[in-house]
Amino acid sequence: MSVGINHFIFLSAVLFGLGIYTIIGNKNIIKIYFGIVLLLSASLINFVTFSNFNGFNPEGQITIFILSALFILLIFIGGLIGYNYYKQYGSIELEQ
Amino acid sequence: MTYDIIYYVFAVVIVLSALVCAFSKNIMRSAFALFLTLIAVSALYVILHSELFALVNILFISGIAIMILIFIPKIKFLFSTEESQLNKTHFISVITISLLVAIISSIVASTRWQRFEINYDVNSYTLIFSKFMPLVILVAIIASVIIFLTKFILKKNNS
Repeated sequence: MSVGINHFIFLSAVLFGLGIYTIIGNKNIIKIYFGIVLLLSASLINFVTFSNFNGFNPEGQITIFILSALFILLIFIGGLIGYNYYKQYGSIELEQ
Repeated sequence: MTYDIIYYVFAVVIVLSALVCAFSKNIMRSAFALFLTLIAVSALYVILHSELFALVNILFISGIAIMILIFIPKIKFLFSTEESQLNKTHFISVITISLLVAIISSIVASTRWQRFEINYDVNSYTLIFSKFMPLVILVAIIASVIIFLTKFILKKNNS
């Protein structure tokens, strides 16, 4: 059986699960930030896969470019929030 | 056939490095595992006819690398290899999330797709070396400038 759409969706589901585990299983701000990056990359794999559904659709690629610009902004803002948290509280571990 | 082999190799790399990123207790190790995951994901974008977005994704990785390499040295205790005591493996959440992944994958597997296969014949990797060649050079220049600036900033902070 050749590799089709559902192989890629399965891969993105695995990445999505690992991202969610990284977010809820860690109390370190930087690890939570890594989990958000894993979630974003899982969603982008889905977008790229469905742009290949039933031939090649360039509309999906346009959506991906807009989303990736938003994601880069979001990543930088998240890093700044983590750094300011460290400056204010002296630690990057979230308290219980 | 070759596309199948490429897919399986990069899928194994993605899953293993994402597991290291999720379960490793050393933060620097999980950071570099995250970079490896994202680079392997951009290799999958090349298979899926979006070479341009693969290049953009490499810029995205370098942006995350700057964030981590600039901000982690300021938080000095992260460089120590001692493991964080607060990060313990939660078995209940592992089981719940693996159930979620199983449900999603069973839904995907039981769907009757209109057209299951991806047309790999449209793809031509020569586009990277002909049409997108200026962009490749631009990405290389931007990435090298970013690395140089990071080194400069780190040197300035250390002195």
